[in-house]
Amino acid sequence: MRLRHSAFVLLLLSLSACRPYEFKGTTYVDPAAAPDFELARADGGRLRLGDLRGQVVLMFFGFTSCPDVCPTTLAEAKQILESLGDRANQVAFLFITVDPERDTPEVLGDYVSAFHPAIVGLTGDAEELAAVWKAYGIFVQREALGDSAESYTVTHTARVFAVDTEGNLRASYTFGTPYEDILQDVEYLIGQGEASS
Amino acid sequence: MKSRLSLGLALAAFSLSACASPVSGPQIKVEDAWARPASAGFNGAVYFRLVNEGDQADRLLGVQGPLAQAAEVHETMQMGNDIMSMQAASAVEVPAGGEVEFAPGGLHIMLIALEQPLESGDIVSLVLRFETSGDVTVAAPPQPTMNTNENPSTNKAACAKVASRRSEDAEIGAAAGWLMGTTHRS
Repeated sequence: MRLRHSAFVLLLLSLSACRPYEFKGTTYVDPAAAPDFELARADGGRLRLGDLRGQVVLMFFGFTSCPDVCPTTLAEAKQILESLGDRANQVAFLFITVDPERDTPEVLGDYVSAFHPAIVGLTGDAEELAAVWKAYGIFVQREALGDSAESYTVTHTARVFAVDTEGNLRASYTFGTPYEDILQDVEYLIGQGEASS
Repeated sequence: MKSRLSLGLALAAFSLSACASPVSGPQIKVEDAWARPASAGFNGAVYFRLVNEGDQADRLLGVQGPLAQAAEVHETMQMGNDIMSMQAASAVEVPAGGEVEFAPGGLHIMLIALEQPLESGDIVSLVLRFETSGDVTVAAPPQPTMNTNENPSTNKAACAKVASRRSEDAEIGAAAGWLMGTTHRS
């Protein structure tokens, strides 16, 4: 009886070990290298995506005047980073502006650091940014708000992208994805990075 | 909600049968208000649920708040394929016996250019101006997310709700325009 019991446990163990991890996010069929870029950090200096090998990178495109979608996503970023505890340094969260005119480095830095000090705000000149938006399929369009004290808003793709420790684009998440789902994928990618190093 | 509605009907029937002039009209309540914490100079957002327990619809026409350069009713709209847009909403109808949810990814009060930060421990006071009910005050505490003490999956539910409303809107059609973002849940 006891033998049968341990055999059953072994069987379960081997099954769970064989099953590939199922991502919560939308996955890429053949994970390819995430398009590389170099942009200006809001807190000074430059950041090249390729230099973040060894870290899991989460990326979101937004703007600081956005009152609803962007703060909702950055509040999730905060929850993810806080939930990771001392493993948070294995994750980089990048917030890339879609509104360089209003998002000066100062404004951008103040905005992202209010959510979590580890969130990196990135900006650049119009050409640099347009290339990055295009590489990640980010739709960006400035629109008048009509009868409003706010001069314009920016309609944009609101998706979070996850890049693994090898620099491959692995998954992305639609707006409204519970932060726990992203966290679970990030934890898996951290583990995968640790196993391969 | 159903029992509330039938109670409402019963009461309405009773008052009619008593031949008194019926007390009718919209009855607006604001529930679960909260604001997203934000720094001074930036834009803020306030969320809540409008509940109309009356027997007549009402319309939210505008909002006033002392904390920002302007307070406006806005709606985030998903344009398909994860593209999010935002527009000013000039009137939001709250149907008789119905509710309208202001939640992330949908309707919200946008506070433009905050004159002071919104921090936990404060209370954001706003006055909602309704067509029939007049001024209704909202007290919204700043907090990081909608449900700090509730089931986190509610967040998803709110988004799903927004999505379902979106398709309803599409059916109601272009004629009514995009601004009538109403939810009927009775």
